[in-house]
Amino acid sequence: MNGAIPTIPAGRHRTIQLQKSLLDRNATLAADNRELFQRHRVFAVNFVSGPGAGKTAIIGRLLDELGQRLRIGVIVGDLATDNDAQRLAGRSAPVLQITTGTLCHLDAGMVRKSLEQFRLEDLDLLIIENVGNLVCPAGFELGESLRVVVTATTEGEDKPVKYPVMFRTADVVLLNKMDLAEVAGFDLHQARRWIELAAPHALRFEMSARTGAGVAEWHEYLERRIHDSVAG
Amino acid sequence: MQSALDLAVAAAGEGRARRIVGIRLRLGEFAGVDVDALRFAFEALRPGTMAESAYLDIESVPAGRDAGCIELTAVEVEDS
Repeated sequence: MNGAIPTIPAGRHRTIQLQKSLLDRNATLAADNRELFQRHRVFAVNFVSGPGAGKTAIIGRLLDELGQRLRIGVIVGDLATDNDAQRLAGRSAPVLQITTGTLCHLDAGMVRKSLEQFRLEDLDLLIIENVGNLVCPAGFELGESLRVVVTATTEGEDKPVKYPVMFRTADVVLLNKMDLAEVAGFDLHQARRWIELAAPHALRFEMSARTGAGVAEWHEYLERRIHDSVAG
Repeated sequence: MQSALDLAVAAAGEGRARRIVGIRLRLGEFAGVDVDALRFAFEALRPGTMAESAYLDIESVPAGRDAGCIELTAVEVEDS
């Protein structure tokens, strides 16, 4: 026993240590968008929800009721069709449809590209209707000033606890279709508890975009936020 | 997964590696990414790339400070 230390053969394998966030590219583009919005004093709102929660109806109502006082532009994301853009068209606000093909979310790059179609200096509010999906859009900030998640009584009470990431990143939760709560057998008490659990820092508005009930409070809040951001 | 692969290939290319032996990721529990889906995407994307026969090592990060992270931490390469 000579106690020789076995020599390790010189390996050709080598490890490159990195620390790269895979959301970096999007985060960089989102920061660019944010800067662009600030420069042009545009308040950008990112609407996210599962399919059919009522984003388009809520935006339609917003255009109808605030369109006289605010200059609003709309970007609508879907995998296919321009149905939502058509639903929102015919008002004073310019509406641009993005079709993502197979992509389940909008990213900051797509928004940046579509901003070329708008005169930002002529807008107070940019509404971005994200792809209907409660998962993927949560991971992609777009440079927005406000993230609004919409959930509806017809979806049941537990979406906030089933999709916690989406709710955790929300600034505002709109609980829509309150007019259908009774028919849907919706447990409002439970829903409020779960929304508060998943989104403790978010403001909640209970409303019906169809009947208009509860919409005024939400619009007042949004207008105040826009006003404050321009003043600041 | 495409961006992970792009970054890994870029890092390996800078180091003039012949092929990528393995890719290591850190994935937060609340990153909104399913590990099985990620592995499936990796299998689908790697043919024809430097990472054709690479392993994918995913370290999961439990709820806490980094729970939202998706991070490429290391690329193991074989030099020519």
